[in-house]
Amino acid sequence: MAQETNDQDLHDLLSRVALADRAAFDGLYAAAGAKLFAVLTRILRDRSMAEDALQEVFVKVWQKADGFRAGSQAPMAWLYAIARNHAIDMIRAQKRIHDDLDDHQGLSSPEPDPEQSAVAAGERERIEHCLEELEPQKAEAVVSAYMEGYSYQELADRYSVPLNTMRTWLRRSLISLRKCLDDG
Amino acid sequence: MAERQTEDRDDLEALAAEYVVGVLESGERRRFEALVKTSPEAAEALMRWENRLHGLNEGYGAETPPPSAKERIDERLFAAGATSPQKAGLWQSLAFWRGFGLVGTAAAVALALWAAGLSGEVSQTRIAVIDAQKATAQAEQNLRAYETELAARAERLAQLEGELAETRTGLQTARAELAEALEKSQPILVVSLESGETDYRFLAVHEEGTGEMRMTLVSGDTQADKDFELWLVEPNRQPVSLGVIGEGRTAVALTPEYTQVLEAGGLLAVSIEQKGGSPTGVSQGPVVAVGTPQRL
Repeated sequence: MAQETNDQDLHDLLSRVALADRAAFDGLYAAAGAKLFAVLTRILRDRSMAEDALQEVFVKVWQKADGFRAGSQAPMAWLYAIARNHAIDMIRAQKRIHDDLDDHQGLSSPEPDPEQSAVAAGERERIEHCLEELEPQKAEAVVSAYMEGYSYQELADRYSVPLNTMRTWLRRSLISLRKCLDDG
Repeated sequence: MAERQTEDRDDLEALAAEYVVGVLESGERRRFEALVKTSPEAAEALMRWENRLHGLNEGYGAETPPPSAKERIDERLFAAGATSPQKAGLWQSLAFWRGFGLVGTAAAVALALWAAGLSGEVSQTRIAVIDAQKATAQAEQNLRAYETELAARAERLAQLEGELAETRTGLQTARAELAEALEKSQPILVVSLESGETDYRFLAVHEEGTGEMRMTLVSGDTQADKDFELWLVEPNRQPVSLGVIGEGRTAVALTPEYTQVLEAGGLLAVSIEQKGGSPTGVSQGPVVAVGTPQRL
């Protein structure tokens, strides 16, 4: 992964995958596999689960490539959404088991990513700028929920606030964020 | 109304945001996904949020998966005799069925009746009368139900708004038709089976007291080595096969028990199965059309 595959290349690859082109599928995996694997290991916190999930995610990509709407969305945004949704669904299903076992072990605290990409894309800068306009704790709640896949309940526990308070916090933060991002 | 619409849109935006951030519980996630399938507004709100927060994805960085991972994917997708993933879990999911159920409006049924050319078979006037009566009653009932629920359930507002608009339109049409129609007739159960995702469309017509239902393939192609199989679905029960459906029109026998289930609002679904139908009595192929019964 020495080189970033750009949106146009990814878009071409996805269009060909939609036509069941295996070579394009290999190309897509080479371009996006490591990024999506990073999502899965981060949210699932288990390498072997992440490997299984990666399989499911790319099976979905192969099957759903014709549903990708070019022009409305960046190919990577679409791919990230598939991976994040799959991982989130997995931990939601798993959480129920934990509840049954009365597992109250604390969640590890979120750590800032030390391997920040050297070239910060415009999109990243923009969202960071908008996050800075929120109270730090609320911005952190939004980012940690997004990055780690925390549910409302988990967030409420982490920040020791009632569930409804957390809902209100997050909803308000997202409305502010939306205004800032859409205006910028 | 304009204010309410704005509120609804805000609720939809908030729900889409919560879905994308990932804070919703499983049930809420399934409900939102069902909504996205039937509401273009919801689908667009979802995409807008995925795009808005896309900048955060960079923070995940990259992590090279082991080489075996790609081999396993290829094996899964391209090995000879590879089958598509099992979809049995969907049968148990109420959200899944509800998602399909939204398609079966009175207007859809009327259209399907017309498309299937059934107006020649059941007297034209009678169809008009019963359709109009049923549609009016149904629309009025739905309107009340939706309005009550609209007030009570903020989260579902956006979903209901779409249905409400559809119902209001249906109500107008139905009232106009009813004014013209005079004749009385006996009840008929009609089910329009379809899905937003396939071209397949079937129409089932059951006249009460006949113990029989006529199934018509209205649109979609048959496959030479496959058969359509019809299923009766009740919440929390294993779906029951009602048999294989051929091209054109098929008569399906209904036991009194199945008639009762259908009349109580049981769903009909069509799946694609191997020739002769599923040998296990459980659907193995993809579900291509679903419908809720409407009594005319």
